[in-house]
Amino acid sequence: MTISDVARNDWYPVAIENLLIEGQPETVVLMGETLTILRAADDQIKVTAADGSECPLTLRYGHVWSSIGRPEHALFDIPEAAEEGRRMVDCGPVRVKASPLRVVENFLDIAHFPFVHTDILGAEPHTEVEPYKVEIRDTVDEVWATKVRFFQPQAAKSAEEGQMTDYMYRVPAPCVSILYKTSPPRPGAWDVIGLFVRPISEELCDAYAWMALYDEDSNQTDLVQFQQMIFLQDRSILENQIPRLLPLDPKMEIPTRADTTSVAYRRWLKRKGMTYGAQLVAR
Amino acid sequence: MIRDTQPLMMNRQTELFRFSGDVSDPDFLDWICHRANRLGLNGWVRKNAAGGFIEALASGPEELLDAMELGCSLGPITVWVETVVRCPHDSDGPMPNGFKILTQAD
Ligand SMILES: [Fe+2]
Repeated sequence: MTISDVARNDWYPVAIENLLIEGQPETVVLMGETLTILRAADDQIKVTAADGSECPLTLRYGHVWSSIGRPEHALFDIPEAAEEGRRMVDCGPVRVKASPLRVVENFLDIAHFPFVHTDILGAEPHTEVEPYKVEIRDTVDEVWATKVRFFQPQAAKSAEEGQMTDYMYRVPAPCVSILYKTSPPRPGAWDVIGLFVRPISEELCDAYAWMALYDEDSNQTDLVQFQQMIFLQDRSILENQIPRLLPLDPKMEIPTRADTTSVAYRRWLKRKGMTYGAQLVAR
Repeated sequence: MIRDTQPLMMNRQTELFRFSGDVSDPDFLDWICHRANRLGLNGWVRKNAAGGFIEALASGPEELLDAMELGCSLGPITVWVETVVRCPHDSDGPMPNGFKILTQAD
């Protein structure tokens, strides 16, 4: 199959920077191509393709980013990553047998909290999602959902009781979603959780979660475990979705108001021509 | 994931929809009709050749009219819906039972 330029010429996470050990190469698959990541003796990190050619490289947000094409744009910016007092936590990859686009779509789905993350990120009878705002911001070419409010029994590892949590979602690249949510220890500030997805094939991917939190108390292992527990709940849903590819034609579905963000995301993918991991004609 | 649930609201209303953008694929009319029938809406859809857009009159509960807008704003892959405009319509005339495509002859 041919991979569209928009998919090929983008940045994807290929490794966690801190976990690369000098002299021990790691190999990963990115859209069917095998890449080798090596931290050399001079501490320089290099990514090479199977034919030995060097691949583009960006080191940011704790991850090594690369491409099988030639990205003409810099990696998206997360300004909060530079803010003082935040803890950066890499949660490691989770392999999911689903389209990378499905994984991003699920991350954007506010309505699934009470049903998938029962008694943690949501609970009955608080299943109603209040009206929120979704837009494709043409100036930055990103999808944003703002003014999202939801009751959560345990919004984060640091949360001691249930609370109304405010959310914002941002999609700066087809396989990336960034979530902003009320920080339980600092109600005026946002915790930031990034989901960075590497497509292995159209129906298989590795999802890396990354957090930039205001949380001085929880230990690192607990934070990672909390996030992994949440994501494993998502995975079991994701791996059972039919079709595995993300439909860009919703003929067989009935999206309702709760799916506004998903539809905006799919419209944005369609306009960009991002078809890797997508189903174009409903069957 | 889009769940296959339909809200059960009884407050029926009638609205005129206008879909514009790259909507010239004639199959889009069938697609819209299929959507409206799945949602149980009454009304019609037709091509406004002079205006270069598609217009549909649909009657049903507000939540389902919202679902109509949302589904059609994405539409089939051959179509790009740039904008959807909706306005209330005082329909004293008879609404068709079900949903159909109007041709020029209608
Ligand atoms: Fe989830």
